[in-house]
Amino acid sequence: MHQRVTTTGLGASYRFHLSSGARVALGLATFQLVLLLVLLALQPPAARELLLKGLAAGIATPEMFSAARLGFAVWAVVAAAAAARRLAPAHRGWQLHLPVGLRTRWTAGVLGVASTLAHLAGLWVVLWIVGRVLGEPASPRALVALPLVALAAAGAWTPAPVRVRTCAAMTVPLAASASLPGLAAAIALLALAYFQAGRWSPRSARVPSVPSSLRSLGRRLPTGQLVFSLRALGLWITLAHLPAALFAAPTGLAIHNNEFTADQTDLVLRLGASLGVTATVLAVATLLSARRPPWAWSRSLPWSARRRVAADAVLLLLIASPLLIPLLYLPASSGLSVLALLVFLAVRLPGRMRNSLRGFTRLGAWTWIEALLAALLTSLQPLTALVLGLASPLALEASARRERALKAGLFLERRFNAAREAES
Amino acid sequence: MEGVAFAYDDRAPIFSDLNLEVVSGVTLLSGENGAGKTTLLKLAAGVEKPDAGRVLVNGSDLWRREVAARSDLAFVPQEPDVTPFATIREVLRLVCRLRSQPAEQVDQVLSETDLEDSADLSIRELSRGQRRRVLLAAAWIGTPRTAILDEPLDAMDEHWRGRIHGWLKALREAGGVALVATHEAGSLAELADRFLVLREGEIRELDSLPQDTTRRSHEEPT
Repeated sequence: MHQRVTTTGLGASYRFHLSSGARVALGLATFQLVLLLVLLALQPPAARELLLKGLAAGIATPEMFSAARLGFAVWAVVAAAAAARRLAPAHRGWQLHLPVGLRTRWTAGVLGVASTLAHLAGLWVVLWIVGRVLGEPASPRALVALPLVALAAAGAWTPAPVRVRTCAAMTVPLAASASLPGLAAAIALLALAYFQAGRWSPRSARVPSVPSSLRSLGRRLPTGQLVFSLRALGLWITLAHLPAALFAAPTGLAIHNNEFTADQTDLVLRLGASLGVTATVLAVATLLSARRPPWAWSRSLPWSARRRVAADAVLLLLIASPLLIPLLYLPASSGLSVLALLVFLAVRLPGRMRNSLRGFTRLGAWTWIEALLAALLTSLQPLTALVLGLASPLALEASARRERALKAGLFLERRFNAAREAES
Repeated sequence: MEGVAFAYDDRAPIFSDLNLEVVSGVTLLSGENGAGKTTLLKLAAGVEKPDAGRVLVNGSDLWRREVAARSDLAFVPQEPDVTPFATIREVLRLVCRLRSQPAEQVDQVLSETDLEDSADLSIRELSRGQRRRVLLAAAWIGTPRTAILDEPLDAMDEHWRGRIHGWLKALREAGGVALVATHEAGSLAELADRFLVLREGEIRELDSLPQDTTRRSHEEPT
């Protein structure tokens, strides 16, 4: 009988990935590119030019440490993680009985995930060329680093034993350095990962759905609900602060490029911070509302509706808490007003999340209008924060009322079962 | 349940004025498909809130004294509705914490339900039968004296049917309350103290389980 050679298995597996999980994951690439374009388009022309020139120089530079290359490497790791989840079904179940070796299966998986980083690779090459055209010092090693970064990022998430994934993860910064020793070490580590990938049991194959640090965080927190919600957000949580960035950059530029009085500066800062915080919690609440199915059975457990919505409020506060650091640089009254706004929204939105059976924005357009109005009012008149602070306990109670009144069965049927049917 | 009314959104009401008292012992609830058995159990377990009326568990209103009413209550739904974002151990640990039970009970119920090897698997990696066993394990934490079970024999093999039978028997002997909705009474009929049938939003009490239901359980074993 004709014996198939291994390369046939690799080719077939790779093509399968390209036509299934990788194809689905490319949708994420489109989203990332659109987001990037929007972010760039929102910048003033001078800032945009400066940013692009800086990125081009950073990618092409022969220097070992480049923030641009490292930033791209982090982006690759995050994008690979999202893509690996789409490719995961091909690494378990029925497919394991097919005549493909473990190492070949792993290699195909890595190549499949790496292929979904094509947009990032394209951008890297374009920026390198731009850097060279602009007369910046451009090293060919920066181009050699690119496939290594992509493969390493993919290897960090493709199902394999921890030692293989650790090797791949360690390769990422080494490759991104684009130095000769770094590239040599990266190639050696990838080769090591490749050889180790053939020595494990596929039954243990599992794509981690959440970083292990979040899992251990769950063991320490008093309630599991926070962690379950974090897992529901998944890797989208890495984008949670992007909406705030949309407001932070123009705010910084407005202050930098204008000669405002102290009061005007305070107002602009308060406006930027309020809108940034509001956009972030709205985005997280929308994501949570879309991705976390209502857990109807848990309503029969001995915990109150108030506690369940409070857990969501704590989650929103936790996610938005990094945004509070810049508030330390605001005058106390401004900082406190933004903080009061955040607390109000954090207790208000869990109720809104439980009332969205239909609608494009999940939370409902009125919720967005209400939140943005609260942000604008807080910016214009810091005393509004006092009202919001006093209203927060009432908002928490209103959210608890909505949680009690939620028709859990109907919510599940309309929002999640219908979505699944549409997907299939 | 006192004067309970309930409707899903704008659909026709499932119950408009339902009154029901479930006393100690095992109460079997039957009814045709779509009669509202599952909805009734969800209302009794505090999963759905009635639009009107109130539901008391051991004298506590489910929606006014939420924690007190639920602290001695176990609900095993027909559809194993467990969050996909947790492992079995994490779900059971949450139940332990909410019922103020020591964490060691998690290992105990995992062992009792033969789920020790799957304890760290995500819920989405389990079969339907395994998911139902997770809910059984959760029901056994803290030995609640009120149990609400929706088609408990569904997706269970003979061994597990025997275990459920044993649990209900022990609960009955301890003076607990069990409300069980089933199409397939089987051996549960022997345990039952009371038979109820749900028809057109109303409850009627019977002397024994309707013949067609018991017969079907013998004629169509799963």
